[in-house]
Amino acid sequence: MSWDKIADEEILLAHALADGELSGEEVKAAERRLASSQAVRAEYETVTALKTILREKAESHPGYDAWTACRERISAIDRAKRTEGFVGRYAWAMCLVLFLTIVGAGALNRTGRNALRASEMAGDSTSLSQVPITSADASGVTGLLSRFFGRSPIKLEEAPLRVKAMMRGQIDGREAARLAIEDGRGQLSLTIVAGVEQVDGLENSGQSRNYYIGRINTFDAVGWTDRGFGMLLVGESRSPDDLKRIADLIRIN
Amino acid sequence: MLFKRGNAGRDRFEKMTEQVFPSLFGTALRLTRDRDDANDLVQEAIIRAYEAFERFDGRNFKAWMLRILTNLYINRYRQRSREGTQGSLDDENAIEPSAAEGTVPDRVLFDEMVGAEVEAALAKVPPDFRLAVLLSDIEGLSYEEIARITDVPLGTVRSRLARGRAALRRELEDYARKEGYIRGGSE
Repeated sequence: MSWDKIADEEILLAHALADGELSGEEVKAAERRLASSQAVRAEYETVTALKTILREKAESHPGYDAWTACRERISAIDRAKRTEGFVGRYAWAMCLVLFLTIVGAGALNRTGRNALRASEMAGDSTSLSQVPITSADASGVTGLLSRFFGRSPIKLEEAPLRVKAMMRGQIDGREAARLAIEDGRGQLSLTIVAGVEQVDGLENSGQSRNYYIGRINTFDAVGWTDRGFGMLLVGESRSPDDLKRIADLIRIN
Repeated sequence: MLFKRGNAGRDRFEKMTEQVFPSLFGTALRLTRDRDDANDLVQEAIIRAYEAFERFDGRNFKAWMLRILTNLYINRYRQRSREGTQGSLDDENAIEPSAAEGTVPDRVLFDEMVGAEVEAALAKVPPDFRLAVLLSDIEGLSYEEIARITDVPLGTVRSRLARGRAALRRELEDYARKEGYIRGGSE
């Protein structure tokens, strides 16, 4: 048998036979061709040898480090998907809960504890009207306050203060009065609002005589509450300690 | 959520992947011929497979994974490599037989070879042909599976296999001559 020229189809036949890709009848036909052609048989044997060498001598690559890294990335994907899923499913509910919490807390803060922001107490003067007073008459002023509120929330008799002016009206829908006061060092403003049990916007001093201390615009301010009244004392260039000293003189409790 | 029943799906995926991981990593290494690239390729393939696991039809998991890895390799690495589509251009020419009259007998040639030499010879085979040889002779996949993985007709798989094996044999013989395993002519 001579080594004949091998056609493409015969080459592919030999490879397919070696790869187990032929049907029963095709295998028989291929084997007949192998028997009659040295070239086709050699091709078949070489392919078989190549497959064997690749199968037996190709290096193994377990890739343990790469597999560990893959597992870590899968874990990271799972964590991210869980977070996304939770947020995605409950995002609207969470927003609603947060919104209701904010609104409820605000409402509770205002209505439950009758709180009023110090800035509102100090700033809202448009609804207050001037009340004619005799500035030197401390008892006259406390008498007026008693008439306005049912009782006076402050006492002025012992304080070295002059009441220069008085205004009355409503702040935040509550009965309110504002006194323009003067002592030997300057002018102060005292705002009194009924129905206030907490002054917001100032820091609670945490002391036995509970004062709220802070600043409103550029002025130091001291606030306190007393039996249902909120008071706010503000003075220009007056320290919190100074304001507290004055407040100690005029507060009843 | 990725898997509806807690970690059961993930556990199943990991178990199946761990069994075929050496094939995936080995194929990635032989395709990219660079360890870092192979690491990146195989990780990316596994991530994609994990995200698509619910679409796996339950048949041949290794073939499914290799398809993902191969597509990723073709789309990413082949575009930036200098190999291009060299192998595909040769598809039009006549197929060279792996065994030609007067060449060194296989027994003489292959007995001398060690794994690293076989891998080095394989690395020199053009990429399209190399891929066909990897999938058939190292991973043991059928022509039909190779056609699905590489997205080419069955006839092209057969042609590339034949050409790849012929190229491999040439490389092995060239190497053997250079290393002095065999002398200049056939024995």
